[in-house]
Amino acid sequence: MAVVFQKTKMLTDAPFHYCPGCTHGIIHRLVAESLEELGVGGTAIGVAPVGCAVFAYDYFNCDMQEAAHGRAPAVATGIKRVHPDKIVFTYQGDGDLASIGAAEIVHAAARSENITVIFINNAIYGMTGGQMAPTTLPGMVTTTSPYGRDTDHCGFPVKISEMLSTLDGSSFIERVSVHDVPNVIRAKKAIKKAFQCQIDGKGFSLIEVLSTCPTNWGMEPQNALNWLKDNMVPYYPLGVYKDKEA
Amino acid sequence: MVLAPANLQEAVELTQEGFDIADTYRIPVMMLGDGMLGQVMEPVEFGTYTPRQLPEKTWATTGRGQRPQNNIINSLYIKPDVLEKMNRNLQKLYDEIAQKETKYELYNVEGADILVVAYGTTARIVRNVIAQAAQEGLKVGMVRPITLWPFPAAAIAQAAAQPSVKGVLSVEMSTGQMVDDVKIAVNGAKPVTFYGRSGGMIPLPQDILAHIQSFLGGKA
Ligand SMILES: Cc1ncc(C[n+]2csc(CCOP(=O)(O)OP(=O)(O)O)c2C)c(N)n1
Ligand code: SF4
Repeated sequence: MAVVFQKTKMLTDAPFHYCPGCTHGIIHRLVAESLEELGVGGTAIGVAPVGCAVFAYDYFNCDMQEAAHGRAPAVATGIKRVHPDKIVFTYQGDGDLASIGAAEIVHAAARSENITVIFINNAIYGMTGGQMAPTTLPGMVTTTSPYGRDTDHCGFPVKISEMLSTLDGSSFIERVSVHDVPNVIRAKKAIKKAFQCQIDGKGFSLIEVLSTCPTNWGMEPQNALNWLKDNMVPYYPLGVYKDKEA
Repeated sequence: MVLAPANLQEAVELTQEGFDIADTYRIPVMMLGDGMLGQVMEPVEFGTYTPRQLPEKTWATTGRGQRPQNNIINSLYIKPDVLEKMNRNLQKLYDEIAQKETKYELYNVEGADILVVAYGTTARIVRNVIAQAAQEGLKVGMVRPITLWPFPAAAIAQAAAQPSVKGVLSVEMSTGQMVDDVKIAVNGAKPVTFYGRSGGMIPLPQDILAHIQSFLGGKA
């Protein structure tokens, strides 16, 4: 029988610990497939975040390093500068990247570090129990905004792709989503392009992936996908924010 | 590891050695300076330090290449038995470091009437105290920790155990960050006292000497 789908060799056999319906798993697959298809598995070095994806080092079948919360871009900077010929990436949540790690990501982009950042925006702190993140939507209920995010009190969400695209140092930035099949396919293309950008030595690339957290959003997986499409996509418009080549 | 230089030449050499120590044991190394060391100007000589032979880094994340397994660098161990094993391995490493890397200087220690423990700029000031005390016929000795961790507890215990030593004084530019370690090292064998200044106030030799005299007179 013809094989129509096979798990990429760039994922290990370790079972994912993610909650049912969580889209972290899909994004892992897209990253791993991209590395395999580009033939850079043997030279890839990944940096895992603190957050639900903390065990990413058990899943990606390449050399991996764990960073302190938010510091993945700094660690990746060190690795890439020692090994400029290797493919270095970080995988970070929005609490990790947009909150405690905001300074690291801004300056890594400003320095045009030739690394690839996979940024998972699920509008919440997943691992620690669904607290409000910098990316939490106005009015959105979280455990630390039980009456909905009040912008008078908590300010407004941080739009990372828009913000980093204003820096001269960033080279390729795109926001994608994984709430349905066409978007998953688009996300894969974007991730692959970001790695290609690094392979070509073009500098800092970041793919922001809108992702679900059914557990902390308090929704069934399908409802979470719909909620993402109806609420997150309008606030965080999809598309290419920076492409120096274009 | 915490390195505490007492002058700039030593700071230069310990900084270079600090990188090698960090590399050898894969531990963070801290240089503990003070306001005086940070601001003073002294001539220094580079090239006095002989670099150590550094171990091969088979653990490094360099891309898997032809290696049979992935290299993973992390410090998170969720399973208690695995974490305990890791902790035990680290403890073994700390013991090895303590055994091989403890550094200190003994100054005027033999047959001292009183033993002072001081590091950094404070230790330089204590040298003046030792000279002044000698003029008054009092023999003050000093153990100067160069590594604060590992702490030279055995050297302090040994020096304090001399029959001539009547007590041990910890002099610090703090409100007493080291004195507890000194007490643990002396372990009740001799009385331990403390003199400290803080906030940028430098302990003066005459004040330290006055503290020693009142201590020996049974007052401090
Ligand atoms: C220095 C530090 N501060 C706080 C924490 C606690 N902490 C662990 S995960 C996390 C947030 C994770 O949220 P996010 O990055 O959005 O990832 P997700 O879990 O949603 O995938 C926080 C605050 C920590 N581990 N380290
Ligand atoms: S808590 Fe949320 S982000 Fe974390 S694994 Fe579960 S669903 Fe995914």
